[in-house]
Amino acid sequence: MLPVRAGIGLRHPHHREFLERQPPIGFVEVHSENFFGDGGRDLDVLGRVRADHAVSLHGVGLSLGRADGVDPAHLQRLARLVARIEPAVVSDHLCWGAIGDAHWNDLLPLPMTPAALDVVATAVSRVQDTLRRPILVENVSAYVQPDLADAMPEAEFVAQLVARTGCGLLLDLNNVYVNALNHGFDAQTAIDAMPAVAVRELHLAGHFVGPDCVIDHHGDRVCDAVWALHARFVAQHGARPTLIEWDTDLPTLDVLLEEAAHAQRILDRTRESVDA
Amino acid sequence: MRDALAHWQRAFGAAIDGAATLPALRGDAATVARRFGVYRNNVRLARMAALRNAYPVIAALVGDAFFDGLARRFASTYASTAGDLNAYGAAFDAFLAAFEPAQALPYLPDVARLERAVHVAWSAADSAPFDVARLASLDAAAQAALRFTVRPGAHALVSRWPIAAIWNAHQPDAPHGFDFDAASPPYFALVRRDATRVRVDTLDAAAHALFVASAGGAPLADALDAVVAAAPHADAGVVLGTALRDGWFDDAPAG
Repeated sequence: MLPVRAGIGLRHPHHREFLERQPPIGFVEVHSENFFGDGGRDLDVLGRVRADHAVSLHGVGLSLGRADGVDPAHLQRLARLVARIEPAVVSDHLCWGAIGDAHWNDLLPLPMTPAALDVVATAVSRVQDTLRRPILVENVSAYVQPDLADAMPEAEFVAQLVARTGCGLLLDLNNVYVNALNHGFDAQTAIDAMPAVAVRELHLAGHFVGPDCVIDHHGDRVCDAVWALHARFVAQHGARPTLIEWDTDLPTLDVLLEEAAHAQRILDRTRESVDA
Repeated sequence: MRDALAHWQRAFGAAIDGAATLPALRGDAATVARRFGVYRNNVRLARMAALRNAYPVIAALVGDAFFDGLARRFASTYASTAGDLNAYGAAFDAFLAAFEPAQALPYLPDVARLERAVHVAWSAADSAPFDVARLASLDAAAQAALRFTVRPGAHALVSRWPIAAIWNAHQPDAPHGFDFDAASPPYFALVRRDATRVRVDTLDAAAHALFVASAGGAPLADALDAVVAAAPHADAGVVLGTALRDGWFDDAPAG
């Protein structure tokens, strides 16, 4: 379990500074695949970070929704990393990025059909059996919408996935917001439809408003509308571990810590209101 | 229907790779086509970033604009075959060798092979160097029969070009410029990993012979014979001493 505090995504250019400063932060999240090696400096850094911080291993490559099932070699490398780091939480995405021998290494949109639910539930169960722990599954942003028969709303798909596998949810509020803008629905309504009790972590990030659609580029500060969604969620459902994600045009570590401090103030406000 | 999902995913992937026909998607065709371009762009940029991460010296040698062109062409030609993009780009040397606009820099493919070995060495298994005292504790027959194993990540390369010197000259802490004797190929390079640092050394023919023989599993007596065969005037004992001092060999139990 992650501490119910704000955390930051730790990326390679900040490794050294993070270790030197040891900033007071609730937890640290890294991309699992960046630590799939056998040894070396990056794993050494992660081990040292882990000594003082709760670590979340966030995967981008399991491809839980690929129709032909997760790659056993990829899962074994994840299992080795989990055994080595003993993270507070392990997560990946409700998406696919590969089929057969072809990989696109992206978080591609999944048709929310009963067949896809079978595929994802089988994959999640297999991962959880291998890791001997529940994982969190995250909603992704999408620029196009699959058009297959029998598709169900994402909230229903997710609720059934939780019921069938016992997994938790990693709710990315920016992704819901981006999708709402791109596909013309109300973000708050979509969040309200999600099974909040299963949400174990929240993600916040910045996005880019492009000419054709809004792009979830993780390259800017969290926008006011997404901060409002965050404040509303924690006011309604209680505080959750909240991560600031930043991947492109990485700013200074201080900017990430400022954003995390903002999230922490929202979590603290909720806790005070609960205590009172 | 799992088959329908698989069919749809294959169509989606083919469209990312350039197929004109998109999978079944909701919305008007023109908007969907423009938005689908985001995925094509994301996939290409991620592959290009993986190449830049693995081949910083190639990027320094050719400049950012030319490297972007190289990476763009490679990314549209070579699919990814793993869920971890750190594995992407292993064929970059062969691509460079065949890429017409890069022919003016004939050493690029060998520098790329060296950078690949460096990239692999970064995340090779941790290991401890062979303890010289172990060698001293053996009698002469046991020393002659000893088979060293090279440290994980250690890799030797041979080139017509001074690739180790080129690589070292393009490290962040390198002094400007470097000296080499252009008239004396072949050049031998050795990539190896200490605890958390990758080093690239230029070897002479004698040291290269010791490494190759040892990496191939030869007993020490044969490896020292290979040193003398490669460099008749070399002092094989000195070559071995340097290799031990530099920590080429693994402390794992050897045969």
